[in-house]
Amino acid sequence: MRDNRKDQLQGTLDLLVLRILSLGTPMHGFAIAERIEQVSRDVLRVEAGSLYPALHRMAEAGWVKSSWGVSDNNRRARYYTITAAGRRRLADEETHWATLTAAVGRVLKHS
Amino acid sequence: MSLFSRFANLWRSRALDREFDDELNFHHEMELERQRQRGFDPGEADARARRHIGSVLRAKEGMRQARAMVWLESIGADIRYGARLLRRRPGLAALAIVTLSLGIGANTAIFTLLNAILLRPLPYDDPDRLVVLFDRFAALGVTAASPTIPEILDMRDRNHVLTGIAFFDTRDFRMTGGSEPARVFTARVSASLFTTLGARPALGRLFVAEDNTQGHWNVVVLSDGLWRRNFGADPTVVGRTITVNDAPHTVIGVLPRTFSVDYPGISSSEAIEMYVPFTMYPLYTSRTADFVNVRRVTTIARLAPGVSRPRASAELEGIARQLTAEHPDLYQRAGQDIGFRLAVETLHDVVTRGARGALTVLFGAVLLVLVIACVNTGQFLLAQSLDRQGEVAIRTALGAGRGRLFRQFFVESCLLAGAGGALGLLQALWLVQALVALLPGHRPELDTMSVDRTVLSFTIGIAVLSALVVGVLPALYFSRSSVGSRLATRGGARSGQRARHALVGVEVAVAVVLLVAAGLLIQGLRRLQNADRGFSPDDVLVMQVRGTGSQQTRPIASLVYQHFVDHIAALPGVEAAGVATAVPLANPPGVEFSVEGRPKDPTDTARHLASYQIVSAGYFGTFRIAVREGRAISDDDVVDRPRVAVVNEALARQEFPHETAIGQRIRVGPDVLTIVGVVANVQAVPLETTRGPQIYVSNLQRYEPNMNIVVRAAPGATVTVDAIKQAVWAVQREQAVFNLRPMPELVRRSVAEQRYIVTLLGAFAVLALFMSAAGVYLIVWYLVTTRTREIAVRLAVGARGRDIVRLVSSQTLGWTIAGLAVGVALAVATSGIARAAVRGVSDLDPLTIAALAAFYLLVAAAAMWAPVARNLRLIDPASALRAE
Repeated sequence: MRDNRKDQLQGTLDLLVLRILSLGTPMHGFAIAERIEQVSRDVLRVEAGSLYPALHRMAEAGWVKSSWGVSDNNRRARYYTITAAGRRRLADEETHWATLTAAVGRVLKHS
Repeated sequence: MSLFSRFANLWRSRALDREFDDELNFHHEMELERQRQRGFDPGEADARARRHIGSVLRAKEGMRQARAMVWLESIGADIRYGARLLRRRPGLAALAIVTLSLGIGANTAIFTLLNAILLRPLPYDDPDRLVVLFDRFAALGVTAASPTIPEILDMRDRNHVLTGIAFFDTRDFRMTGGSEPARVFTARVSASLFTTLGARPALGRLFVAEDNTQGHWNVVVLSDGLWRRNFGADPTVVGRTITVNDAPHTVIGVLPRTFSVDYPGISSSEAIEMYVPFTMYPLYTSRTADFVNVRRVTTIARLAPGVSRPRASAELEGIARQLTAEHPDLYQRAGQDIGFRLAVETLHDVVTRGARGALTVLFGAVLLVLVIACVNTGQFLLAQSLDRQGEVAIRTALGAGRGRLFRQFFVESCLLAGAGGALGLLQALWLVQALVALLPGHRPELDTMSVDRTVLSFTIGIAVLSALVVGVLPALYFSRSSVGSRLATRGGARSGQRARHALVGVEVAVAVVLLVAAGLLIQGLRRLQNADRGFSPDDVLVMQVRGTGSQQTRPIASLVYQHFVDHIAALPGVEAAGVATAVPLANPPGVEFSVEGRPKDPTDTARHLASYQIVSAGYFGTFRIAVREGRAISDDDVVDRPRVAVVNEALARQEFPHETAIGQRIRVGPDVLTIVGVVANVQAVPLETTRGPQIYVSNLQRYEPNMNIVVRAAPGATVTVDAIKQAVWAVQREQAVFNLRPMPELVRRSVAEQRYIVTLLGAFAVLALFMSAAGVYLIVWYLVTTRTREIAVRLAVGARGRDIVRLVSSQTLGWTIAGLAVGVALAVATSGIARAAVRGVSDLDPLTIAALAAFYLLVAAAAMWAPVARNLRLIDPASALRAE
């Protein structure tokens, strides 16, 4: 049960990261976290402890690619880009998420 | 991420950790930066950011897991699963492992030799820049003669491309003062030899240029071997006086164990034990004396930094032109330029040339054996996986990707190859020792040989390669056919059989190539061994003596040998005895001769060369060399009598085809000799099938200090070595009697290298034969077990065992015959390689090939019959059908 929940949370984080990266610009981890916080108006806070393992897991799965580059303030940073497989995954996750929220919504509304 | 980078991640985990750190540090700094911008003071910002430390640690752990550990864990599962599968069929798994280990072991062993002899650099300073210098005489067909001392001195003084030039030759020396006079194989060297090669003494000093001048000859440098054996590794040996060739010499130094110049190609195949300076007498260094055309030194030089071999060659060619112009008497013949050139070859090439062909052939042979081993193991893995094809089909249906399936097969083949490789390495350790122990002749590079890092890398490399080849076979098969068909036709899988059979064809072809090559070599070897040599080696003992300074020189110094022979002949059990400068098969020096009184034919440019031996009267009787015409050398052919010669039939036929040779006179150097007899042709050169002209002259008319004593024992009698030595010492106490050998042993040794290569190749061929037969067995066995139901039905409706065999093995037989045909064709096409590698090998013999092919077919047929016969007994039609 616990594992299941963890899986779901991870799935959600993957969805958010892939969505952010789907804009096409390569981003480093901090920028991704910052962007999620901004867009969610600081409701969703992403900690390094979950973000980086998620990024590396997705790299391993082939959904994102990474390469070392130089940040705006001239530091060495690892930049992530979404891959074609990642875009397919994003589409799946989005559908899944929509189905799930709709289902949850229906339950909340009609019971 | 590719398979490779995942493997790489496992090894470079430290580098990966650093990358994680970099990435997290960057995050942390950005966090600080943001806090600062939002207006927290740096101290508090830092504190806040550090609260994330736990989170960071978790992040790192998570990243590490994502990158390697997860993958490793699933690999672990695969390995456990694979091991379980292998344990399920321990017999077949063991067979597969042993098959692979034989392939890998043989490869490792041969590669160890190849590495030691061909690949490792020679143990000198900067060995790539060392070259050997040769004389060439284009017009005489001479491609690699040793330069003479005056030529070497001219090269030394005139060139700008060499930083060192050195030379040496080898001699038998006598060392007295021990329990009995000992013979020491000695190199006479120029002092520059040690500096050119970069040798440093282990004790004392080595020679300096002054040691090569007259009056400084009485110093010696000991080899490590002699120092240990004869001087008990005495550290104070430097300065000691020893007696060499009856004169006192001072030991000035000892060389380290790693130094030697007795490599094949530059020295004779015997260990050099002592070094003395080559004294530069005017006799040797001038072009006027007797030694002007004596070519017996090896010349080694070091290329100057930045000078290429072609450039050095070009400059030496210029020097050769100068010499030709300066000495027309030497480098022209009858006004014709004899094409004198100086050639430069790398030392490594010269040293390895003789072994390269044989080692290449042997290495090729073991690679072929490994191919068969891999195909067999692949067959085994496939057969095993077909047993569980239901499982594979279900796993595929459940979403196991092609990669995942391949990985499972690869893990299994890695397990097999890993075990096979480890076992093979053990075999190789043993095999290498056996190979070295049995290797004829002396090769210093093998003294320091070991299974070193190069060899280990090679073994690991071929084990991994084998794993890939083995794993790829079943993976390919499974990735091709569809899931549905495999689930539908459980137990009757026919697809993929063509590929499997093609593999059997490959195995058969490879095995036949080896078999035919080995068969031809064995035939060639037998022909060499059974050739008519013109002498009888049985019951003959051969030993060497060396003239001493103390013997009486009038009327001729060789009288002392006559006394030796007389004393030996008087021993009980001795049938005959004699002396000679060379015994049969000993490759005696050649001389140029001409027939006296015959007008010079200007169109005759061929050289009249004959091998030349100084012998006593007893020589012919001792070796039972038949006298065809006239008489042999006799004891009356002494100094004050007419100079005589005995020639062989080959010379008589070549020079006097229409008349008798007896009474004819020939000139050899300054001597004019009257031919008094013609004897049978004797094999003088090992491996040679044609017999060249030979000249024998009387020991009592020409003195030579280095002599062989030959003794024939009467049939059934034994003559002890000690008795012979005592007989010699009764005449001359300080005489060293050495290199005592039975002549039959020398005969064996003359083909020992050939026998060695042929034996190895034969062993590999037999191995290949059995392995490929096992491959045929495996596939038929598999066919029978997968078609049990069908066979049961056929048996139930009245088929006989013979029909079943025909049914099951017809396809296999077809492919076996196809493989046989391809193998024979390949063997014929490649036989040139084997012939080039092993001298004396005969031409292709269709009968041999046919016999080998028939033999192979018989073995294959047995391998096909056995599993069918075995399974037929086990099949009970009723229960087999019910089981489905």
